[in-house]
Amino acid sequence: MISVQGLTKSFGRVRAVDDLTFSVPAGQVTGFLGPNGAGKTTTLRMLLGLVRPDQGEALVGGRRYADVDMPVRVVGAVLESTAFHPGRSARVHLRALCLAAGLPLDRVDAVLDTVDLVAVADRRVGGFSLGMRQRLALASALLGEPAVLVLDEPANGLDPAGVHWLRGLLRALAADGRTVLVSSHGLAELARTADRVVVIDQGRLVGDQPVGDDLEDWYLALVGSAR
Amino acid sequence: MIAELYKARSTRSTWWLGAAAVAFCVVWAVVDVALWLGDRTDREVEAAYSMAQQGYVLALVIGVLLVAGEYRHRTITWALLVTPRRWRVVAAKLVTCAVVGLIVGLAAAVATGVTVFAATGLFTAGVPLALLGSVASTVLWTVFGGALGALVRNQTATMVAAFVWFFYAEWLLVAMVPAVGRWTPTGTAKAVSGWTRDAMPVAGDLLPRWAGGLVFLAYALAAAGLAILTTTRRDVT
Repeated sequence: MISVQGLTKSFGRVRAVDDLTFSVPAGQVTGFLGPNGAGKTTTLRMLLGLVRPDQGEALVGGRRYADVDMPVRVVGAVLESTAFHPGRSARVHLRALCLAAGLPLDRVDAVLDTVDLVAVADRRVGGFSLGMRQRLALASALLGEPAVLVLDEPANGLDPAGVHWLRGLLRALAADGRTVLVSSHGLAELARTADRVVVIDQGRLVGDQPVGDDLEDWYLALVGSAR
Repeated sequence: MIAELYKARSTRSTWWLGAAAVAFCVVWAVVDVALWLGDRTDREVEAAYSMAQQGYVLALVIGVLLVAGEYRHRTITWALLVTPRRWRVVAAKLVTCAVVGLIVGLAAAVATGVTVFAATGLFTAGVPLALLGSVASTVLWTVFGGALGALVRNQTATMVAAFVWFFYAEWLLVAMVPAVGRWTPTGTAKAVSGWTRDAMPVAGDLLPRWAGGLVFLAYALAAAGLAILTTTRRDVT
């Protein structure tokens, strides 16, 4: 469902993503790994049409994000869990997205229920904890019931119960036939959640395979060898 | 578009600033009337009513906040994910600025009009035009602020740049070369409302109302066009 072909992007003299090629199938949870600064977020932002690639392309369902009609119905994304206006409530944030996307407003209550934020839906986001913001970001991504989910560090800031809940949610979404791409630094958690992992380092692909027995040893060997 | 209006409505700062702009106009009108000396000519009366445009600094700030605020809180990411065709996002935001500016401008015109009439009981044939001009100038200032916000993106930097320009640089420029006074954004915007009371050393009068309106409209549209052009090209990181 997601295919990245020869993707390359430089910021000034720094080559953030370097001739990167991989694909992400539907019906699985795919982990997206790499050290800090490896180019994960840049790759996801190119996939979502926020950053323009120098070369290559990143496609969702065979099309560029910007060419997809009603993209939120196809792709749900969590990029920055802190990106909310502090003065708006969770409900207002979601309603504004629904209005902009032309989605029915009853989706707001549905996703608030999914992420378990109904009780605080009318509180201003400025008072939310990081975990609550993560849940709100996930709710935003789920608004359009998308077939593809692109999540950048969604477990960041979640408490243990939240991590457990997120694992169940991602597994359920994949079992539903959806494509789930999750970037994370939590190897132990990914080992339990993901079916496959894609590893990049210094903008290049260094590993792409099913999750094995010892993800940590494998990952450290891969990333170590690239230095 | 509807979503943008909904967002504008949902933040308290929009309303506080709008109310402040209206209050500002009323205060200026009261001061203007209180300082009246000598003859109450038609021109003087209209000048008092044209205080309805005095909230322009706050209109500019509202515009900046409505657009640059999205970058400050990084909510622009959500907007662009929902609407990848970025010119539509910018256009919707600027239309929203115009609508908010219209509401603030109308409120300011009504409040100022009532204040001046209550204080003086004077009304001339030129007053409706002065008030309408004030509304138009408020709308354009808000759009101008929005376009600047979209261009610069950093909320604080936009405000500082705008204040430095409108409060200092423009005055200095006009003081040194008075002939340009009628062509600056502030000069043309004031022409729209038929403004006549000013310490600005403008050589001669401001432009006629229609010409000032057109030039200021051109400034606002140029800023908007530049904002759309840069926003569609840039990486959002």
